[in-house]
Amino acid sequence: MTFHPDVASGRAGLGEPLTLNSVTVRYGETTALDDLTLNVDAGEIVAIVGPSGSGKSTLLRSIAGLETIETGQILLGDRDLATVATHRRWVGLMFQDNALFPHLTVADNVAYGLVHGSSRLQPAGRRASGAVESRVAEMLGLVGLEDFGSRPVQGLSGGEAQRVALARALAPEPGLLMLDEPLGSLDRALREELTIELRSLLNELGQTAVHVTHDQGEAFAIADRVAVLIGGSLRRVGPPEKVWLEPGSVEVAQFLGHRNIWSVSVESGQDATILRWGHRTLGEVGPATKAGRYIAVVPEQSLTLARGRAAAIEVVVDRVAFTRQGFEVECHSEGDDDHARGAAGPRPVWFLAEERLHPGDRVGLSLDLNRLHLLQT
Amino acid sequence: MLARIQRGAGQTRRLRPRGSTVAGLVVLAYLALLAFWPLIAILHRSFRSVGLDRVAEILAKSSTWSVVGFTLWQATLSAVLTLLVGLPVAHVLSRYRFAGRGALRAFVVVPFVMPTLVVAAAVRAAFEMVSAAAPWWPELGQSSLWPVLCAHVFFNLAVVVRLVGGRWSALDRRLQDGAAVLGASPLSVWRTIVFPQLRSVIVGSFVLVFMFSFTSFGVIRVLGGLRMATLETEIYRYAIARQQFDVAAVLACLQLAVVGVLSFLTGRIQRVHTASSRRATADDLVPVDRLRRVLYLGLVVGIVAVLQAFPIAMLIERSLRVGDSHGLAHYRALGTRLDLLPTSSLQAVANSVGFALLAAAIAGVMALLALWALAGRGAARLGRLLEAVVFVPLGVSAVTLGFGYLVGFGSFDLRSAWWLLPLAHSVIGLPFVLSAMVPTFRSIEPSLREAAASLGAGRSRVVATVDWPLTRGSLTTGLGFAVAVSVGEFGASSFLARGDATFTAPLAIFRLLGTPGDAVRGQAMALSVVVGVVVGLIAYAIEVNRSDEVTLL
Repeated sequence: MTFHPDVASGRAGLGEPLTLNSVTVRYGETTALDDLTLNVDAGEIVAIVGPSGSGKSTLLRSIAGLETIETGQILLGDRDLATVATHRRWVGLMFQDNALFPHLTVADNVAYGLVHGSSRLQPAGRRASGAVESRVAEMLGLVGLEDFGSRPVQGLSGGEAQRVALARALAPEPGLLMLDEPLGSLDRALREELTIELRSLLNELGQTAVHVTHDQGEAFAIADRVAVLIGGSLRRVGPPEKVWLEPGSVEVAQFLGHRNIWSVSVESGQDATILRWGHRTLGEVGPATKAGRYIAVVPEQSLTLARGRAAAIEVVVDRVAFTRQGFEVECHSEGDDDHARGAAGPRPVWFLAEERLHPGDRVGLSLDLNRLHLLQT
Repeated sequence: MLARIQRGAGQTRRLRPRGSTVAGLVVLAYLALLAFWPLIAILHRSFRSVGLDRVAEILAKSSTWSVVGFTLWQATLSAVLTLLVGLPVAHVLSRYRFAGRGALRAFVVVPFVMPTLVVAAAVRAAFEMVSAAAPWWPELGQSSLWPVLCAHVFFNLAVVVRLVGGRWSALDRRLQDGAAVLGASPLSVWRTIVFPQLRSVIVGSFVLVFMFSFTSFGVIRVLGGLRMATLETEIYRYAIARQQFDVAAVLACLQLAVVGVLSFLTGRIQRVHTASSRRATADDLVPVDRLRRVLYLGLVVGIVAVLQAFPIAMLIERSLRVGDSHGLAHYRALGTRLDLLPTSSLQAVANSVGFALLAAAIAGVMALLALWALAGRGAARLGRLLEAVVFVPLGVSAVTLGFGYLVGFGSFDLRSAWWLLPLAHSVIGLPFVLSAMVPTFRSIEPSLREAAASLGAGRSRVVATVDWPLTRGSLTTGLGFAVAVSVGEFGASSFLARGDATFTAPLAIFRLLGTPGDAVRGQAMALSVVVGVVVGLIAYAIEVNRSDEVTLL
């Protein structure tokens, strides 16, 4: 099954820009969203990632008007949503576990917003039933479920149900589509397939979308920009590759899955500025970097087997696991001194190898300093 | 080999307890003798010994049909009123989070097991108070239907709050959020999402309230005066006062027919209900701002105060009023026997409690045996039969049952056969015990038993270490209900109680209420308070200790 974005051709440019200005939401004493500011361009897909309880769902529910914001401004296009009731905000929201209406058929679910709601394009409400019917057929075609209209929603598979939920959310042509962990309950293969399809469909429609997920991989795959939300505030916003390579803080780095987080120092020599990890010299960095102690975030991709080149570090292999990207190797550096040694023993070093190594192997690794990210301590 | 593999698929079958067939047969024999034989005896009486001509003659009488008509009419009114009052209360108590919600809910729900005679006494006290204060409003007087309706709402509010409220709080809020996001106004959301999901349970609770009001006996006899006649009171009148068993038997058959149809309907509705219910979590409750809290609380407290608290307060006031002042004289007098009672009021309470404990014990044993048989249901069709018949006594009115005992066990001398009373009460209590236990028992994951078995526990060890600890709490709940119901039981007792050994508290209240005189009336009120406190404490303990929502109804 695939989506058929061509059905919707000619509708590009549907989305409106979204602006959140200093939005704060509190539940009693706890602050769920703390002075949050975010701009989403028309047609842009922004993924919000964060650990559970970080306020991701609250953010979506606030935009939808299901939570009351304490302070701040929410603008969609040129409309200020703060005082608008949920049902007149004309945004789309796709829930985790789909929230399809169990007592309605697939077609009636998709038609719901068209029949019972007004929309941005038809603020006065009601459409002719023929128009509803053809729009429902169009939406079901868009998500590849042409013949499903008369079915009850109970019998649908997880993937089908989410496609119906997507069709339902898109049918009233919302200026903004919000997706709350929409693929969270699906199995991995289906999730990856749908992630790619969802991205191309949203791009084709020119749909502004805010996609919430706890899965960094899904966020990186679907989004134009990724926003990392931790403890109710945005900690990093940017294109996926930039957020990954330059997480900006240890917390974000750890949440994104960085495992090589080293305590390093920069020393200004006579001719060069040197980066040192314990007693080892990792290499030269630009003279602009001030001397001092830093935290280095080292992506696994920046470490490769030295193979005769000068090795930046020598390591002993501890564990090897095959992943689809290659062999994931966990090792510890040879001759660890106090700096490289954590409280619980030697700090592990992780990298990806193209060939299978074995525990106990001693190998040299070279380091791509350009992909290393230094954080001030 | 193939057969072997297929057997293996039903692995849990081997974990089912032994002896389940014997247990099932014991329960079936108990039900056959004590629940079905009395009904068969009534049927037999009305069609065999009486003859079809006589049946036709009774059915042709217009008075018969006016009784049927009035019974249906008051039951319909009661059900409509209860829904009108109950729906807002259910809405507030099940959807919003505010301080005092738990206590209010308990207060609304507890009256369901209050003895009918206590409620009738309270409602009468309240109406006497109101009509004394408002003499220009004669409709509130003795022969009006209002006291009866108020008493029925008093009991059955709990049905609506528990059934509808339970479903309401279990509604998936995301569906309503989803509809709102799609542009549906609050009214549309209610019409298209909320109501369709509540419809079956609203109809179900209507039918249940209708059925309870249809079979109402004590309330009608106390509050309906002499002229108000329903099927229940007429069965009693023909059987006891006029000794015309044939007419009573025909009326009882009519009664059974209506209740049978209604039970069938509720059975269907309840099946639908349980299929889609989901437990509500604290997160599903909507926190409310101050203004709404005041509004909602005001609404619920107002309804509860007028319909439930006011009658109880008046009952207590009347029990304390001695002449023009207040005191404990009526309570002190409970220990001494009045001439119009075969024992002292206090002795009647003791009798009631004793019978209730005995009845609950019998019902508890039968419930355990029934569960045992149901657990071993793979072995025989016996289990399915048991499942089909075990809840039937719930649909049979206590009056019909009592009359059935009179017809079916008429050869015993009721003066010496005191044990028929606790047996009848145990039949009435058994469905309460089972409906508390069966859902809990069913909810035990088979994997728990399999895990215990795989860890080396034998069949009886599995029962002792898994089934019993997990069902024990619900047995206590069920037994509590059985005791509460038996202490307040009036319908069957009216037929079976003879002499001082079987004279129970509800009978004493009835006789005291029916006798003029301030001292007697005061004692009736005091006795009602005592019985109400006993039952109320039991019910409150159950309500507070219950861990889940699926019991009783």
